[in-house]
This record gives sequence, structure tokens and C-alpha cells, in this order.
Amino acid sequence: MIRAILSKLRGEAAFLVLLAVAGAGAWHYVLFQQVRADRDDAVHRAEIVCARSGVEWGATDTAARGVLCARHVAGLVAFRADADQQTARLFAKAMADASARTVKDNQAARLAAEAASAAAIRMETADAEAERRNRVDREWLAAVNGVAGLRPPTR
Amino acid sequence: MPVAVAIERPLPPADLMACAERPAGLPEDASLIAQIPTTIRAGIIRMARAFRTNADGKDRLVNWLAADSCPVPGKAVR
Repeated sequence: MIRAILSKLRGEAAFLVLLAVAGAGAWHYVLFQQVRADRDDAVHRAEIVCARSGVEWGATDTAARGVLCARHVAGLVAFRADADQQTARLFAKAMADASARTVKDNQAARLAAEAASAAAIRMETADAEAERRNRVDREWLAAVNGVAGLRPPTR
Repeated sequence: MPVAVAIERPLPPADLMACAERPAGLPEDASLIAQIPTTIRAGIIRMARAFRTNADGKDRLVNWLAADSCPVPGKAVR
């Protein structure tokens, strides 16, 4: 019985080959449809990304499409890095400036306070002397100038 | 263009940015001898002290706003 079927099939070999080829073709067709759908989807997403970056995908020329966009995106990345770096540098400089200013002012304040305190001590002594002698002399006048931080007139 | 931008702080008018005025003080001649009542002496001393405080403070303020504009208080004077 099996032999009978086989001999019958042998007669239809050409048809069977045709059937196999048609099957393979159909299978490839289905695969191709899936690939094309994937490709269209990928291109579509790329177009969306490009549009969001502000540059057209450029679909007119197949070879050039995406080139402008890629360049633009690379530029954006570089800008971002550059901006971060410059911002950090500006902040660092501002902080250093503020700190240097404070240090300098503290120093000036200390010098001024020391000079004022020395002058005040001298003034106290001179004024006590003036009080005792009921007389104002050169030392007292000089002490007043010292307290005020002034020089005597050069005449 | 960076995200953070350095801004020059606007300075006060130029007349406010002038260093403290420090005129010549009292003459210190050895020949000048006077009798001054205690209260007037105390007043002179008060004014001298206030003058120094105000002038030094103003110079520091100007230097804070524009570095090295005025001589450092306490250094230039004796």
C-alpha cells in the first residue's frame, strides 16, 4: 500500500517541487513583510527623534538622510558638555572671588582695629596728662590726630 | 553660551565710590600750648574717634565693592 502511494507520488514529483518552492516563497514573503514593517518603524522613530532635535530627517536623498540630524545631535551633546563645564568654572571662580574678598576685608578690618586701639591708648595717656597739667601740648594734639587717623598740616 | 552667566554687579555712583576724605589734622607745633576745658577736649576726642571709624569703614566698603580702590585703613596712617 505504501509502495502504491510512493509510486503515485513519483508521478507527481514536479507538482510537489512546485508546491515546496511556493511554500518557501510564501514563507519568505511573510518574513519580508515583517522586516519591512520593522524597518519602517525604525525609520519613523528616527524621524521623530530628529524632529525633536529640531532638524529634518531629510528623506529626499537616501544617502544623506539623518546626516544633518546626527551632526546636529552631536553638536547638542557638545554644547551640553561645554555649558556644564563653563558653568562649573564660573561658579568656582565666583566662590574663589568671594572668599578672597572676605579674606582681604578681614585683614583690612584687623589692621584698622589695631591702629585704632593703639591710638586710643596713646590718647588716654595724653589726655590724662593734659588733665593733670590743665594744659594741652604737642603730645595731646598728636594723639588726637592719631585717634582720627590724620596727619598734621604740612603748613 | 554657558547656562550660568557672570553678571557685573552695578556699582554705586562714582561720588559714593570715592575714598574717605582725610584732611590735615591738628597742627603739632611744640610752640602751641593751650588750655582747653575738659568737656571740650572730650568732645574733640569723640569727634576724632568717630571720624576714624567712619573714614576707615567707608574705605573698606569701597574696597569691598571695587578691590584696591582705597589705601588699606590703618596702614597708611600712623
